[in-house]
Amino acid sequence: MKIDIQNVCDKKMVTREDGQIINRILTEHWDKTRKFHIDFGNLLIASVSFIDEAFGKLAMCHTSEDLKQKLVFQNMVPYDRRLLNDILISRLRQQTLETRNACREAKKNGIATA
Amino acid sequence: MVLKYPSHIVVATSNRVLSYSQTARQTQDDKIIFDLSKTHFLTPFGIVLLAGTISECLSQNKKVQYGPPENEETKNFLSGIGFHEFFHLPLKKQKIENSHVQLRRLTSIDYLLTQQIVEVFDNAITMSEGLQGSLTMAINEIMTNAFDHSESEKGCYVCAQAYTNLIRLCVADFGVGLYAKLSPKYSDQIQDSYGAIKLAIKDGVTTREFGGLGLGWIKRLIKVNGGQMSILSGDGKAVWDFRGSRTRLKKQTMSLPFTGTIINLEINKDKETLYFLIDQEGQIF
Repeated sequence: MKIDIQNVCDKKMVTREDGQIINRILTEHWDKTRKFHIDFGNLLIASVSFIDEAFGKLAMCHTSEDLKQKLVFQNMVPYDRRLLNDILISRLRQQTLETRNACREAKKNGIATA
Repeated sequence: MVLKYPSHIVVATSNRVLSYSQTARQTQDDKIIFDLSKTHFLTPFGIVLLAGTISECLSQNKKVQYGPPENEETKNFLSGIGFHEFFHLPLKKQKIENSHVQLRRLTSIDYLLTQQIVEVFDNAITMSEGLQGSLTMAINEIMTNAFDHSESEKGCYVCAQAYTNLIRLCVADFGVGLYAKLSPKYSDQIQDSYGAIKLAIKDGVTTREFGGLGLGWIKRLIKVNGGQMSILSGDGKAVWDFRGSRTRLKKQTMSLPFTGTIINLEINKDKETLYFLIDQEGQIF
């Protein structure tokens, strides 16, 4: 599945709310999609809020192996790639049994968290 | 009421100028004179604080009078960044060098302003890609925080200046302040405004359901950069100073609590560093 950040967010700047939209798309299609190709169009995002909402949330629920297997980040500027890695590692460290259970519950209830 | 401002309106004189601001906002006097005649140096901190305070007083229907700096250079500088125009003061707009960004009041996040600040600074001092990204991130996060958490009716004030080797950026909101915002959820962890400021920069601390990474990231940027970050809110002030070989966290208690939050950054010009510290082997993507 291809996700074009600029198309989804419909502008050249992204917000926390845009991150929530991306996260919802990923969450809804997570189980039935083999790979997500996420295209940043070489746009500098530089937003912790956006990247955390869109992808950091996923790291509260999934392992780094799962993330690596499912997500492919394309045309991402080096700065954003570092920011993404930093946020994912930070969130993976915060992952606990409790957060994983919360993710499962939310999924069962159809709430988009991850 | 006459408020005679000091020669320097900078973070270091914050105790005095914040108490002026709070006094002006709380006084029952219907006429306030902001006397800047002796002022000859203002950083973005001083500019946003003055702009916000004067705006607050005007919105309370107080009569505001303004005594401009006697120092021509300072007066022209204030005119150049749009300070006088901001309050419709009859002082001629001056042209200034392009290392300054016009004073702005924002009522919502303005990413174009972020772009503009970064472009102006890049023209003035030529920034590395890493610093451009970091600065963009810092401005976006501070604005996001101001609009997510401050509950400020008037939005926030932003001002930025580039010097030869330094960028100063300040964002001030006149909202509820960090302690009021965080204490309902984190009452067991904070006792005062200083505690709220320290807690606010910890990863994962947020009044939202999810989030709370932004300020922590900015602190890391400042740390790697060897700069300085000051956060002032309520009667608390915390300054993270990474400029010397020893990191210092300075705590100060303000004599008069300031209603709102001010975040002031001093970032060094740096041609090389990308501001992220993760272990390269630990990278996922």
